[in-house]
Amino acid sequence: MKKKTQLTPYILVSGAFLILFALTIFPLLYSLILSFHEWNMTKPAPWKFVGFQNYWEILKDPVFWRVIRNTFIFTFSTVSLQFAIGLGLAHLFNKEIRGEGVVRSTLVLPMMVPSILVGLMWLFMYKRDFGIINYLLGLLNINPIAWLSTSWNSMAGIIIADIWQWTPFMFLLLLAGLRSLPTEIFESARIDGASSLQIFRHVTLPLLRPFIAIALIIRSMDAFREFDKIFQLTGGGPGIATETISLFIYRNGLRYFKMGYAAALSYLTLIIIITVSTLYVRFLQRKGENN
Amino acid sequence: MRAFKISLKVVYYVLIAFVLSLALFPIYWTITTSFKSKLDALSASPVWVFKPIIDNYEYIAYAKIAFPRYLLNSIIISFSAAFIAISVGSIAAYALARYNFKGKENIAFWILSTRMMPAPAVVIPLYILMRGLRIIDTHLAPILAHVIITLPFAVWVMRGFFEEIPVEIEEAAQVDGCSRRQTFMKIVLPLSLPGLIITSLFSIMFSWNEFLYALVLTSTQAKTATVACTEFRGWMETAWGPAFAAATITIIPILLLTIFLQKHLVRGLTFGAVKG
Repeated sequence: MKKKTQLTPYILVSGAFLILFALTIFPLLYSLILSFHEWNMTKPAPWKFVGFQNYWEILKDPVFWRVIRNTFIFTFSTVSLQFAIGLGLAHLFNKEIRGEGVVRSTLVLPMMVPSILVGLMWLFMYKRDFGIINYLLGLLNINPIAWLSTSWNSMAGIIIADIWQWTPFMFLLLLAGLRSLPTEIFESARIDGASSLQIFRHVTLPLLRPFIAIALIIRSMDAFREFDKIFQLTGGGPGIATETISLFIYRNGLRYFKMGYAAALSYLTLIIIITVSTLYVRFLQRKGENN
Repeated sequence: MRAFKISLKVVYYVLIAFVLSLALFPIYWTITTSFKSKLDALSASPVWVFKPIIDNYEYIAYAKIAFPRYLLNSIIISFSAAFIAISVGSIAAYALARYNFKGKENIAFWILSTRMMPAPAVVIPLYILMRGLRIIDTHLAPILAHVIITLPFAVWVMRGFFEEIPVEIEEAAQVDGCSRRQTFMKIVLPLSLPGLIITSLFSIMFSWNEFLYALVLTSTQAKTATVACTEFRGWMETAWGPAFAAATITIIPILLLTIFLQKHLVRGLTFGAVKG
């Protein structure tokens, strides 16, 4: 009898386990083998074993390092700005206001829009001749900007679109955090003569830490592998100025069909992602123990 | 002092109105542009007041673009991906919520970690394998790929919902002679129905919004709405009106879903890590 109850949970999780194994681990094992071969899918030549040559080539390639740099610039600037703006907005909205539900559900709409369509919307608004952004800048007496045409304003362009889309996520999470804090702590801090800034730094921020950590980790991982918006807005261009790791893998694998090379690239990316997601898992586990 | 307080309040509400209009404007602009003529849409100074026309919608419905068909593909794919996730995922979630067994947390985190895979790393081997199985450009290809997103999600969020059901109710049912299976079907599932619906709606949304897997794994037959929306860019110019008509149709169901899911957004978007 005891043995049977021991086995049941394993049977129950086996369905999900097998499906995910077939859909993620198996393809990844396949591409691990592929990463040690040279294979162009458009050519009839079979796989040719080349050992670590693909990895070596990638690490020697300055384009790869530029792509890594772009990815980190994009991730760091979007996540930090979203955090700063989101925290500000969470404070702004952490009050009793009329029609709060409507206001909140309006504010979260950007993150529900498919990323690829966020790209399409902003592409239209960035247009030099008829884009609304340059028109509005004109009203403020700012000269029109040739968005998405130089390295810097292309990077700025994709960062702004990402901030528009994902700041609501930070806002929502941090607001939930602020609302969960016990009010007595703030009252007693105020009675003890702490200034608003002191309360923010020494009371609010430490108490918000779990929420901040989750928000930052989820956002960083998503920003790191962002594909849709960049693909739509700049396609990685001009040149490789906004090419991030996801676009680089896509281009090598599905444009040039250098399958072995792309597989090796995927593995290098995976190593970075696993490092980050281990942090996430560790954090969640620690939180589970505290409860 | 009172005047100062009132003006502070005015500043506060002006600030909120400003933030809201920033959040809403691109969506508003997309929807209105879809009802504009080409001349109005591409005018150098923006046209605020115009007579709405539905030419763009007629164009994407009747011309060889056949957008309704891609919309149908998106519906089939997202509902199937959600259905697989819920049916397989809730069983696994129940085991993780209610049983104690060796390696439980490791299995749970392994399931979560599959969601963290960068799609470009998975999509290339998936493409080669699915090409070998000859299922590229069938509904099955993007459905399976989207299960990578929806299944870990369903397991984690449903686990949270199951844990919220007091275990005493289940014990009482078992004392009354229900088997574990009967308890699950007759007590647990009905009680977690709101959770199941919320999880399904999120899963549908994730699949509906997904782009890269759908782009790589389909070409003409099983193409989804999000992929079709990007195909109005020609060599010389983009057909902005039709593109935005397609975008509007793709976005509207998601915006309606948001209203339903409003209270559960925090929970859904953090995989249940924050209960909100």
